[in-house]
Amino acid sequence: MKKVRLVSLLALATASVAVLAGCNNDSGKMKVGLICLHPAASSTYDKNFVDAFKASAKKMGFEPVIRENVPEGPECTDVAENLAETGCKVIFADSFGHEGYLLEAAKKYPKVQFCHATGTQAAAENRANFHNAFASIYEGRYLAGVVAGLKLQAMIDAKADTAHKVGYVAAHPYAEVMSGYTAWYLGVKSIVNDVTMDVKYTDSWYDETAEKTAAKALIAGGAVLLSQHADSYGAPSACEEAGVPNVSYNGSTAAVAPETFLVSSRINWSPFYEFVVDAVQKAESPEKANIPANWCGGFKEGSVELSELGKNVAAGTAEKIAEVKAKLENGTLKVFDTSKFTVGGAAPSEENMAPSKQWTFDYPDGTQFVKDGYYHESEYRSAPSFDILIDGINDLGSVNPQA
Amino acid sequence: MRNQEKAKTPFLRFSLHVSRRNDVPWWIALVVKASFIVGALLLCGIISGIFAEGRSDGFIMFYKYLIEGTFYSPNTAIATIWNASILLIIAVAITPAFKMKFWNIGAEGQVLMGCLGAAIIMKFVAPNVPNIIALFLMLFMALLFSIIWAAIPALFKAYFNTNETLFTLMMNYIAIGIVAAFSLKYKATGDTALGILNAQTHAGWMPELFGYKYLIGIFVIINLVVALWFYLKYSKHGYEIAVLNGSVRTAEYVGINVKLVTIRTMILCGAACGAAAFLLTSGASHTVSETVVGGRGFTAVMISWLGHFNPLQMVLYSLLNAIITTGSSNAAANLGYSGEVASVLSGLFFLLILVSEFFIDFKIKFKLKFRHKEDNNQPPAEAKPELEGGK
Repeated sequence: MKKVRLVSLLALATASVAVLAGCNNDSGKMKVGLICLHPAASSTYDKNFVDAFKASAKKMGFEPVIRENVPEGPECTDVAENLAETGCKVIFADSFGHEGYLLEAAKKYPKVQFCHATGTQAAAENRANFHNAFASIYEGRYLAGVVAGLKLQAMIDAKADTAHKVGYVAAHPYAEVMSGYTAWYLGVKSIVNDVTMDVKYTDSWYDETAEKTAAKALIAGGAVLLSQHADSYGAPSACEEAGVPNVSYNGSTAAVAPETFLVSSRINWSPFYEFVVDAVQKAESPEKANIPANWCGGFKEGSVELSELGKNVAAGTAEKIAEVKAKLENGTLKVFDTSKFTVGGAAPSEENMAPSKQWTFDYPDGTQFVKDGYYHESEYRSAPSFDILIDGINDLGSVNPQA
Repeated sequence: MRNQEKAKTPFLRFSLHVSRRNDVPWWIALVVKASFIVGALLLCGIISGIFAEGRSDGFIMFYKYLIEGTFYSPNTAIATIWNASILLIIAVAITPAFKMKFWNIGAEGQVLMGCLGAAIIMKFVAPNVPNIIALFLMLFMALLFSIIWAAIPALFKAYFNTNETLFTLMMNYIAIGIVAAFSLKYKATGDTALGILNAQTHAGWMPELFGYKYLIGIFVIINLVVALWFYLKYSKHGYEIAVLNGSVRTAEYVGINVKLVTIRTMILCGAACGAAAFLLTSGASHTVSETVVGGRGFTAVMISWLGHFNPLQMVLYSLLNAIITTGSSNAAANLGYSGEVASVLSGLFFLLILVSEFFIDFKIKFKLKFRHKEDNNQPPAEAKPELEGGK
């Protein structure tokens, strides 16, 4: 009797598994996957991707499948393959370290589109189903720098002995960060021409203590206005305590720095998601979708955004933003205009401005970065390449020298 | 006065008595464990149903996505079995040490050092030699590095009686530091990590079998686990470990060289960790980083304990771990709740299985005593029936 019961139970269990496996909630919508390094609940970086993904899903009517907590390892390939097998036509991944593992899945599933944000290998790989994306966030940084410059000028006007020095809390000495802080500095410099900038690194994308320590060190070193490229509230909260105006990244920090927050720039990934999904929907089949190897959106596409302004910005800031933004959009203003800065005391040239051949991207022979009077950022690949220290910016090294 | 005594004596008394027991028949233990596994799965489904906002099918669909994320296709199933296998071999690797009460919680570092050894060959030698030679050299270096990392605390324990728990734990962090320093030195300029090695040439990569990259690794691990099971159960060395488990004094009395057995067993642990490291590097990650072992060295401690140091039982728990972690993550993705919730589900699942161990290993007696209503001078009568946990 017991044996009969056991066999019955096993049969029931097997049948249940079969039924569940066969369950189908197919809504008829196109399935699109997103692979994130961390949960959006605990990472502002991933949250920026997830929020935009959900908004695009709602707008375009696709079914979002968001896999969080996927390490930068072979697990990424496994997850991407599982997403491809379970019907996703497009798969996005958000972390730099995912790229090689996502590429392995792309090779195995040529009929699925794989898009990697911040990566560098798509051009060299030259595959129809593997793409890199970024945004010309350096334009957003520049515009935020203009807001900071106006504030600095107002401070100088109010008090003549105000130092013409700003500070920057930076995560790592990589092109993505260096391009950003150079653009921000040039934005400030467009208003206060003799300004200098100190940079301090935290050697981490998210380290609240290190970011706060770096901000305090910059303030102690004479910086009267700060910006940052790191993910925590460390720098804005240190600025609020010291009463130092500050510019943040990836979203407003007015909540933690209500008196000192000026503005923030961020990447909006929705235009990229929507461009890719639209291309796949219009294509005869996903692999035939017309998507470039490198995609880089700017203000025009809505990929770069400024937050609302803080309550203590200088008078006339909104008007100036509108004016500069219009020039950036119509191309009459170039962020890395070579007439506006020098490198090692010399005018910028192809020789002193050639970016280090970072990561695995090989630039085609004869590629010129400095031409037509400006540095061509994000034109040969979507991820930033500008990694030269220009005059006026002082690299003070790491806040944690042993790191 | 009498009224005061009445007031002090509660009408109802409750007592709980917990005592260890070793007499539970295997089938009762099995039923208790199976009940808790089913209960844990049901609880996960209920939580999933709560968090799947705007969906009424969150409970039932949790199981669909659990299966879909782990056994949807042969490819997905093999990836799940691979994840279970790599955890299993690490759990089995530390088991001989646990069986002789050498608390080796340094598997994370031992595997990581093996990965470093294999990656060194992969980066500097593999591109210049035939792949089969590269793989042998990687295996040799992985074994060497892991064995050294395991033998150091064993030598200190044998000759200076140092605390092996703290020693092996600290060795994990030293290993992480060494790997971080290696990555920092040899990563490409501006890169954040070493990155995938030999991505174009596949030098030092384990070949695929029938188009599946993990298959060879799985077969190797199955053989290793069976071999280690035989070693522990039927070899003289296994017997010596078992004697040491009982008492060091007994072992010394019967002429077992305790120092030798300690060092030899840890070398064996290191070798098994080295094998895991080789398979991980050549067959999956194709690089080394501080996070390449992914905490498996610590999870393996739980698997070894849950399996009562029996490699065959560990198979079940490794597989359950792979299914619940990957499957719940897939359920979270499809049902629209956070990956943090999926992590909670995995943790809760194993917490409940650990609780089941408590009900198997301990006898719990609840007693309810009522004060006599008619005559309070009489001793209180015991309430019936008695409840006993686990029966």
